[in-house]
Order: sequence, then C-alpha cells, then structure tokens
Amino acid sequence: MTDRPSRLRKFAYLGSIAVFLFTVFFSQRHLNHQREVLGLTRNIPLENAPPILAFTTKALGGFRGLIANALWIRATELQENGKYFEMVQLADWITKLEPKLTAVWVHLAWNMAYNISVKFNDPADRWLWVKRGTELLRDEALKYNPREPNIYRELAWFYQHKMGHYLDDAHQLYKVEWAKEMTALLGKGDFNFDRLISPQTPEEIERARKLREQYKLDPAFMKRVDERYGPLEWRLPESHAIYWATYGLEMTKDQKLRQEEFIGLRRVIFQSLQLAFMRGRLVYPDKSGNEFVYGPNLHVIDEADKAYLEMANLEADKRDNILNAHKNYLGMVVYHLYTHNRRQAAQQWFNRLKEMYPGANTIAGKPVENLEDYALSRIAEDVGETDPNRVKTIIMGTLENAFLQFALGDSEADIVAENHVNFARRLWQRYMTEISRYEKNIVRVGLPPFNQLYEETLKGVLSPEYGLDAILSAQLRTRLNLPADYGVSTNEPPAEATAPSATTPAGPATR
Amino acid sequence: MSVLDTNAGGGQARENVIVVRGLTKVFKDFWNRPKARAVDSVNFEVKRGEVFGLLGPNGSGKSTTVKMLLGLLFPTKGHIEVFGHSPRHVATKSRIGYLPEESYLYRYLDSDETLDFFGNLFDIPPAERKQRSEQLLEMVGLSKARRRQVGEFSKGMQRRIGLAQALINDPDLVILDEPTAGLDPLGCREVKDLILALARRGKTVILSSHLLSDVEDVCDRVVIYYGGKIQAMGTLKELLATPDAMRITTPILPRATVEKVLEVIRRDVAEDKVRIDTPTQNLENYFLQVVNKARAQEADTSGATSGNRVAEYLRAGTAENSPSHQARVLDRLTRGDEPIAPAAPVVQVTDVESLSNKKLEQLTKHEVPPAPVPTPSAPPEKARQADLNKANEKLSSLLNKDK
Amino acid sequence: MRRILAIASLTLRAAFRYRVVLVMALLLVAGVIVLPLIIKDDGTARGFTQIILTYTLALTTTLLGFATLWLSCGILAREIEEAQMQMVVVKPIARWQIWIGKWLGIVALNAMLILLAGAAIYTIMQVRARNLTAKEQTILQNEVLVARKVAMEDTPDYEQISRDLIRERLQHEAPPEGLSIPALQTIIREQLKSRDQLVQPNQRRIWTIQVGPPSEVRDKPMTIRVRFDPPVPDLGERFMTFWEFGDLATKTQFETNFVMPSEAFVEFPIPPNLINDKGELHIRFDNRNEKALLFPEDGMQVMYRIGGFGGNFARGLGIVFCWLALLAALGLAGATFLSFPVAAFCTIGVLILSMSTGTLKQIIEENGIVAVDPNTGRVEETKVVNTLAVPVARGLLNTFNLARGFSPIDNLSSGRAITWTDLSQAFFQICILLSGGLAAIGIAIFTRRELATATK
Repeated sequence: MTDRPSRLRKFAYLGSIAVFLFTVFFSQRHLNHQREVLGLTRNIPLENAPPILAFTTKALGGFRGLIANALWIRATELQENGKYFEMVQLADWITKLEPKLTAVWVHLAWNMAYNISVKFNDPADRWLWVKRGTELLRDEALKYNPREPNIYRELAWFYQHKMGHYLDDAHQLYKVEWAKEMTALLGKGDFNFDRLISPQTPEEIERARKLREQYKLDPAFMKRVDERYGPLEWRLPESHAIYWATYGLEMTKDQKLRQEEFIGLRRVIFQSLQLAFMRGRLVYPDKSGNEFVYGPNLHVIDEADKAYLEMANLEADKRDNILNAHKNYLGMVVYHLYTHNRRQAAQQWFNRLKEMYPGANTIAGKPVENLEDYALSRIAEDVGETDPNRVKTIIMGTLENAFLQFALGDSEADIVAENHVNFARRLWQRYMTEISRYEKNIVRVGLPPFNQLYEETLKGVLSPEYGLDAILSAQLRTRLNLPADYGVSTNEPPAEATAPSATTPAGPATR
Repeated sequence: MSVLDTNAGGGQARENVIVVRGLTKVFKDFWNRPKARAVDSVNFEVKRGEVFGLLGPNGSGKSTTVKMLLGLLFPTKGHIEVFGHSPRHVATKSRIGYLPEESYLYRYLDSDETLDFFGNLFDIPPAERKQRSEQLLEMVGLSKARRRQVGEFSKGMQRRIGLAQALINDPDLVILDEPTAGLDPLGCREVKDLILALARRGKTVILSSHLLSDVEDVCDRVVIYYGGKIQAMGTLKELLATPDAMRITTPILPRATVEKVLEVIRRDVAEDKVRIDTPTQNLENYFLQVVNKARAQEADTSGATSGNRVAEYLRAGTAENSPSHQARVLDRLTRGDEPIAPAAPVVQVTDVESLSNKKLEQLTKHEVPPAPVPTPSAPPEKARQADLNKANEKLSSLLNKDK
Repeated sequence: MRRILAIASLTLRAAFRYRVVLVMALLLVAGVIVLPLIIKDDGTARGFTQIILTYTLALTTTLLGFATLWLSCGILAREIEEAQMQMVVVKPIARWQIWIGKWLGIVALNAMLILLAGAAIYTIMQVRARNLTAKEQTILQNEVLVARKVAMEDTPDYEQISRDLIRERLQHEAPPEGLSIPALQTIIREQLKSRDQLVQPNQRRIWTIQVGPPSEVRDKPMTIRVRFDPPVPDLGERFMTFWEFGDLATKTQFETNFVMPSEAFVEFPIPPNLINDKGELHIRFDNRNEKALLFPEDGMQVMYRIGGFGGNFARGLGIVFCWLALLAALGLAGATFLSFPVAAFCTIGVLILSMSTGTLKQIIEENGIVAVDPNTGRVEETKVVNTLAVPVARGLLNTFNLARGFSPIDNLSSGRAITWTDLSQAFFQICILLSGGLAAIGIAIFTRRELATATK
C-alpha cells in the first residue's frame, strides 16, 4: 500500500469526526434541554442519603433501574405464590435503588399494608404488615423525600383509612396496638406537650427522644395540630393522619406548582376529623389494653364542620360530593349528640341540617321531624350492609359499648347504653328484614337471634379473658340484675369457634 | 533426496524411531487465511540410539517440527510416525520425554510435586515415583530445592527441573527443545553429558537448538533449517570435514624448529596460506576446569548445586553400571571425551577462500574451518569451490542473524 | 485412573495454592454469619428463618456458581494459553482424561466448600431455633425446619386433549373464521382448564388426591395448602369456605369452615387418618359465595411430614451441588475453545440465558415470535421464522428445564420435602445428561484442538 491512499483516508476520518462532533454539539444541547423539560432524567440530588446509598446510586448508574426491576419481578412472583417473608428486604433494596421515585415507595408500602396484610387471618400478622408499610413511608421514604406531598398523603391515609377506619377485619387490633404504643409513649389521656418539647426528667427525655426518633413526631408540631383541630386523642390513629397531612402541607407549602397534590392532604384532614368526631375519644381502655370502647369526640364537631365547607370550596369539581358527605356528617352529628344525651346540641345541629339541606330529613320517602327517629334511622341506613359478618360485628360491638357504658355506673352512661342497645336491636331487625326477601339467604347469611347475640356479648364482656376491672364488672352485674357468677362459669369464648386455630399466613379466621 | 539416502548414520540398519515425510505446517489467521508456512515439505528420519540435532535460527521451523512430533500441532500436510504410530497416539507417549523451549511447568508446585505429578501421568507406582524423583533431583542438582515452588526458580533451575520431568519415565525418545537455554556453562556441560549418556544407553535424542556448540558437541546427525525448509542434513563428520586444510598441533617448539618446519611446508604451499598461532583454550573447557578444581575443594555454591550423577535408573543397562563407574559423571565425561588441549602452538593451514568465514569460526569456537555444506540443490562435484563459498557465506550469515 | 486423579488433585492444589479455597471459605462463612444481621425480615420467627435459609443458600449458590464458572474457565483456558497444558498432553494421558480430571477437581472443590457452607448454615439455623420460644419452635418444626411431602391431584394434559379435540372437530367442521389453529387451541385449552378449575356459586368441587400408602401416613396430621382466585382480582376480598375431608364411604370425616382470603395460599391443618384404603384423600369444597372461584392447577395441595430438616437440607445441598457440577462442565467446555475472558463471558451469558426463559416460554405459548399490530391489535400471520423458532425454543427450554426443574432452596425454605427420588433425578438429569453432554462437546473440541501456537 502506498502512502497516498492511507493519508487520504486519515484525512477522511478526521473530517468525519469533526463533522460528527460538530453536529453532536448542537443536538446534544437540544437533547439536554428536552430532557430537562420533559423530566426524563432524575438527577435531583438525594437528600439525607447515607454514604452507602449515595455510592450505590452513583456506582450502578443506569443499571440500578435494571436491578430494581429484577427485584420487583421477584417480589411480585413471590407474592403470587404467597411467600411474603422476603418482601421487607426486597422493598428495602428496591427503594434504595430508586430512592427518588415516589411511586415506588408508595406502591411498595401500599402493597404491604393493604395487599399482603389481608392475606393473613391472624390479626397480629396483619398488624405486622400494616406497620411495615407505615414504617417504610414514615421512616424511610420521608427521609429521602421530605418534600413529596404524595408520600405524606399516603402515610396519613394509612393512619386514617387502614388503622382508623373499620373496613379491615382486624382494624380493632390495629387501633389497640397503636393505642398501646402511644400510651407507652404519651401516657393515658391528657398529656403535656410542653413537657415533651422541653423535657426535664430523664424519663421525659427518653420519651421525647423515642417520639422524635422512632415515631418521627415533633411534639411542638403536635401541639400546633392539637390546638388547631383538637383537642385530639393522640392514641387513636386518625389524629396521626391529621398530624401527617398537616405536616406534609407545612413541608411542601413553598411548592406552588403542586397545589393539586395538596388537595389530597387536605382531604385526609377533613375525613380524619370526621372520623375523630365519630369515635375519636377513648372511653374505656380495659386493663389488658386489648379492647377498648371509644366514643365520639364531640370537641371536633365544629372543626370538622369547617373543614368540610373549606374542602367544598377548594374542590369545585367535587363540591356536590363533598356537600353530600357534609350532609351525612351532620346527620351523624345529630345521632351522636342524641345518643350522648345532648339533646339540645343535637337539636341545634338537626336544625342546621334541615336549614342547609332541605329535605335531608327525609327517610324512606317520609320527612322525619322527630329528633330521635331521625337519629336512629340515619345510622341504620348507613349500615345497609349485606355481609353477615360485618353486620354481626357492628351489632356485637354496639352491644359491647352498651355494656361498658352500663358498667361505668352513672345515669348519663346508662342512657347512652340504652340507646346503644336499642340501636343494636333495630340494626338486627333491619338486616333480617332486608335479607329475608330471599328465603335461602336466611340459612346462608342469617344472623342468630338477637337475644343470643346479646348474651354472647355480655358473657364475653364478663369473662375473665376480657379482663374487665372487678369493680366495673360488679357495677355491670348490678345494673343488669345478673347473678354474681354470670358469664364466669363458662370458659367459652364469646364468638363462634368452629374454625381450627390459625397457624400460617391466613389460617382460618377466629372471628 | 540424495542427501537423505547417503546419510544413514552409522550405516547399520537400525530401526526408525521417527519418520517424517513431506511435513508441512501452514499457520492460519482468524479468517482461516494462510499466514505463515512454518514448515515446508520436510523429510527426515531418526534412528534408534541417534542424537539428532535440529539446527537453525529462531523462527526457522524447528520448534514447530518438534511440536508436530509431539502432537501439539497438527500437520497441514505430510506424515509423521513416532515409534510407528501417529504423534497423537496416547500410549506411544509413555516412551517420550520432552523438554520444551521455555518452562511450562506449574508455578505453584514444588520440585517434588512436579515430578510426582508427571510421574503419575505415566502411571508410575508411588514407590518407584519417589525413588526416581529423588534420583532425578539429585542428578539435576535440585535436591536442596525440593520444597521450593517452581515459580520461584531462576531460569536455570527451571531448565533443570524441566529436564528432570522429561526423564521421569525413562524415555526411549527424548526431545529437547533448546535444552541449554538459560543454563550456566556448568549446566550446559551437564546437559550435554547427560545427552551423551542417554545415547550410550541406546536412547534416541532429538535436540533442537540454535546454539551451535550444543549441537556440535553431542549430535550424531543434524538437519539445518532455514525458512521452514531443510537446508542441510547429514552427520557432523560429513558436514564439517574440511578436506583441503590440515592442522598440526605440537608442544611449544623452539623457534629454530618452527622455522625448519615452515621451510619444509613452504616448498609445497605458498607462504600466505600458512598460519601459526598458539591455540587459545576453548572457554567452555577452561571454565569447567576451574569449576571442577573448586569443587574438588568442596566449595559450596548457592542455588542449584550439582549432584550430577546421572540418575541410577537411567544408567540401568549401560556398560558403565558398575559402582566404580559411578564416579562423578562430569569428571568422567570431561576427562574421557574432551581432551583438554595442552598449551601448544598450532600450525594452521587454511584455505584462502574460507578465511572470509571468520564469523562462523567465532560462533562455533573452533579452530576448525567451516565445512563445505552440501545443499540438496547443489551437486557435490560440479563447480565445487564456487558453490562452497556461496554456501558458507549464506550459512554464516543466517546463523549469525540471531546471535 | 491414576492419571485422572493426578489431574484432579492438581486442580485442587491449584485452587488451594492460589488461595481460591481460603477466600471462598471465608466469604461463605462470613456471608452466612453476616446475612442474618443485616437482613430485613418480616418480624416473625418463621419469616426470619425462611429468609435466612433462602438468602444464605442463594448466596452460597451464587458465590459458588460464579466461582465455579470462573475457576473452570480459568483453570483450563489459562493452562492452554500459558502452555502448561503442552507438558501434560505430551504425556500418555488422553485428552478426555485431562478434561474429566479437571472437572472432578473442581467438583471436589465444590463439594468441600458446599459442605462447609452447609455446616455453617445448619449450625446457625439450629442455634437460632434454640433461642426461640416454645411456640415459635413448634411452628418452625412444623412448617419450615421439616420435610413435608406435597401431594396434588394429577393435572390432565390439556395441551394434548385440546389438540385431539381440535383434530376431531376439524374433521367435521371448517375452522372458524379469523382464528388460526394455534389460537383456537389456546382458547380450547383455556376452556378445558376453566371447566375443571372453576367452581360456580352453590357448586361443589371434589378432589381425590393420591396421598401415599396408608401405612406411610397413618396417624400423621396433614396440612392443606389451598388457593383460589375470584374471576376479577380483588386483593382485599375474603370468602367463606366450607370444607369436608375424608372418603364418604368411610366413617372418618372432618368438616370445617372459615373465611379465607383469595389470591393467596392458605395453610390449615387437618386431623390424621382421613385417607381411605387406597391412600386417597377426598376433599369437598362448597362454594356458597356469590362469585365463582377458580382453583389453579397447584391450588390444592396436601402436605404431611415425612422427615426431619437435616436430611432434607443435605439433599437440597445435593441438588445445588449437581448444579455446580454442571457449571463446572459448562465452564470447562467453554474454556476448551475460548480464551479465558471470552469463555468466562460466554458461559456467564449462557447461564443468564438459561435463567431467563420467559421469552422462550412466550415463543412456545404464542406459537412463534408473534407480532401484534399496534393499531388494529390483530396478531399478524405467523412467519416462516416461526416454524423454526418454536422447535428451537422448545428444545432450549426443555434442555434448560432439565436443570431448572428443581428448586431446592424454595423447597427448603417452605419445609417441603426433597426426596431421594428428587435427588437422584437431579443427579441423572444434571450430572449425567447435561454435564455429560457438555463433557462430550468439551472433550470433542479439546481433542481436536492444537494446544500449541506458532510461538508458544
């Protein structure tokens, strides 16, 4: 080969290199700009990342997405096969690989708290998973994404909906467990925020530390929330829903572009307030702390009312829905004030209801003017359930509340108790009427006679396992004229126990 | 192929250990295109008991030939027979010992383990293996380095252990590729002695080397490679005989006597064709002399000591098996074969034409004038002088190329 | 034999001298000790044991797997490259002996390391189990640290039945319009499946499961592992279930009912001695819900204890060991014709390919590399490539499945038995068939290969 062609070729190469570089220079700038505009690359620096995380995200580069995908597939596959024991570890890895993807955090946490937990029949197992999901958001996701409204909303939602609401069969246990933890931390009933904000004794210092480090709660902010919406019962989950939603709003308030996402947070607040109103008061946690009775938190009626109207204004497109909810809310307020023997207040709110929503007092086509009739029919309509288990639970729960009110031994409680018993009976009647339209249903989903439910519940409350305080049991017996050994002689558990005991994830139900 | 026919070694009809016919090896590149013709239509055979030398500069094809003899490379064309079988015949290999050009031993094994491992490959029973290992290590002077890993060895020590492993099976055919590379003169000598000892036992040795002295000292017959082709082949005597010059070696003579002798010579030969000098001693011989003297005083050396008794099992069956003969091989061999020249003037009668071959002389370290090399292409009788000259020049330049 | 053993022990020695053994042993033991400390478990003793078992075994398998590939590629390829192999092949040893010797050496090395790792894992398991409460220990002994045999109803060969049906039907009718035969077959197959697996409301489904000879299962309590799915996935949904166990012809019966989540496996115990003389367990399920429930093919399993954890664990390790032997063969086969880095790269590639068989399955299921027109959603006509693609995919998949068909780690962590039959089957398929195949390829190439080059 002679010199000439090779030199020529060299020049050709150089020339094309120059051309390519030149074009790349322009298209690269354009591409980078597009990437930024379309949000294709996530190069937001990680906040609070520990060195190991900073290292892996940098070192793996684009591969981390691939690995996270593989782990995700494995997690899904295992879940399909009912194997959950790796879930926590896999979620940890996946989120560590993609710490900035809010959707990943939210999905994984939701999966644990909602999808996996319901696969277990033992409420203790379920609680474990609800807790895992909550912790993933509260302890990890927020650490790396302290300014993501969606994560706050999701976390608040877990407190409000998963623990606070009664849709989960094991919701009782969630509330009890949560109350136990909070009682250990905050003490019973009223507690002093200032002592936690600036703790004095070593014991207080320890509690304040635990509050901040383990539960990520800021006592000063708790105080603000409490003053604004409360007083709240901090041992109940919905108060924490309100806390986290408010905290989220506070942390993200400078992000003007994300106003839409704030609506979710606000909605949690007003829904939680509604919940707090309905049963946001611990009436009587029993000794073992495994069961307790709650009553409505009548302090928050006004706040919740305000919150509804505020939401209705904020969400113009959902205004009708919210006002409808508000209408229901007012009905509940009337019912609760009525059962709590605050007839005057009940009457006031009933009037407001009629005023704001003409025709709202119409039940089954007939206007109801009488406060009592309205209150009871109101609740019965709401519990228009067809699931025998759920209805039975509500009936027995109401009866249980009634007996505990009786046990308190004062006349005001007696009235509440009697109202509860009446309500339970009407609920039973209503349900049985509803289902008896189809004969076969009575066998399939029929309830035991009301008296049987009444006795079962009463025996349950008086049984040693229930752990009712001796004085309270005595008072209850006195109120109901029961013999001294009633309910003690039999060791049968209160509910039916035909199913074998649970062993593995979701063994047969005990309830 | 007249050369092949005339070079029948000692003339006896001994069996062929190796037969090579039309051997060609073409190396190909990735795309299977011929890249180099390393060996080109080579023919030779090696008889039993012969020490056969493959001589040539680096890259001339001798190593490739050796690898084909061993079945490491497969011929592109041609035919090889080793002990009457293909080189890839597994059982035949138990009769072969091979020392490669470089140390290809396992660096993490020590000397003992190396010999044990290779002994195992020959299926030698454990007791026998142990005995042979000991003797071999003694022979190559590594008995003090039994537990040292081969990877830590100096080049010379690696040669020695390589040689030992080549002999572990008491082979009938020993193939040595550059056996003296990296060895000190002492080691070289020992190796050469060993080769001669093996030959005496009727073993066949193939020696590939570019060190002419190695070949010259031990080989019965050589082929000279260049460019993958055999350029010359024959016994050393045939190849190196210089029929047109002679040398007289005497003790130092008085000047008058010398003058007298010269006077007589001048009558027959022109003055400028007569040369007188005092022969310098062959350096190799001199070096060995010194070392032997030192050893006699039991001076210790570091590194590879030389036990240098040929391993007993290798001596089995030879004439010198009696204990009295088991004196130090080196001493014996040096004494017996290579008379150390006394300091004497040498009268050299040199062919004028061959004076131009001084370089070759230096290379071979011998006062012998270069040999007329018969090439297959040149008929031996016609235009002999001119051809000789040419051949010599060519040979000397090609041998010189790599050294 | 002496020659093969010499090569094997040389290989072992190399691994020791190059500190491979030491480093691997340290890594394995450290991994087994450290993993339990850093793993995030689900908070239960059972879950913890399962995840530790899974992860330590997976770690062992992965570490040893890659080390084996690396070592087997390296030990042969490097020896060839560095010409040490020349010294060996000029000795009276056949190339196949060298290859087998190398393989045996690596296999022996793996045996040592897997024994070590196994011992470490076993010890950790035992120590941890001892520190648990009696209740947790019982759960562990019954559900994880146990060898339970799993019995299921035989699944009909839907593939074959649907094919037969179509053939029969096509004799009488013309094929339906707009549907290819494979698509038709898929539809029929799914219909057949749903006929067998779907339980309509107020319907009863009966299983007859061959559990085992009555003598083997006498007095053994059993566990039922069951799963069903509603027609439309709804993760939170729970259903009332009514169960009856035992042959109606015999006296021993057991009934139970409870609420059960869908789309998840649920385990519950049943009393012993419910099987009949033929060793069958009859199970009856009444669907009194309003929705139809679908029991997948493995949706009804009967499990009972047939042995302890120790033996099961050992057999599980045995299967892992078979895998490693296969990897050794793969690495050596690659190293016979490729240089070290290339061989390592290629064999790891093969390994990854064999682990991700999803695409192959898809090709087979969809009867080819199916292209769906994104605009119309119509499946394009099968191409000529597919006539080749399907059998190739099927062949590859079947080959891979010879090795993949075992899940020792999964079985161990879920307390399922790995029987001697499983182990010998694994040995036959993995060590004999697959490794043997690779060995044949490797040896053939090795024998035909020139082991020297022009320069070395």
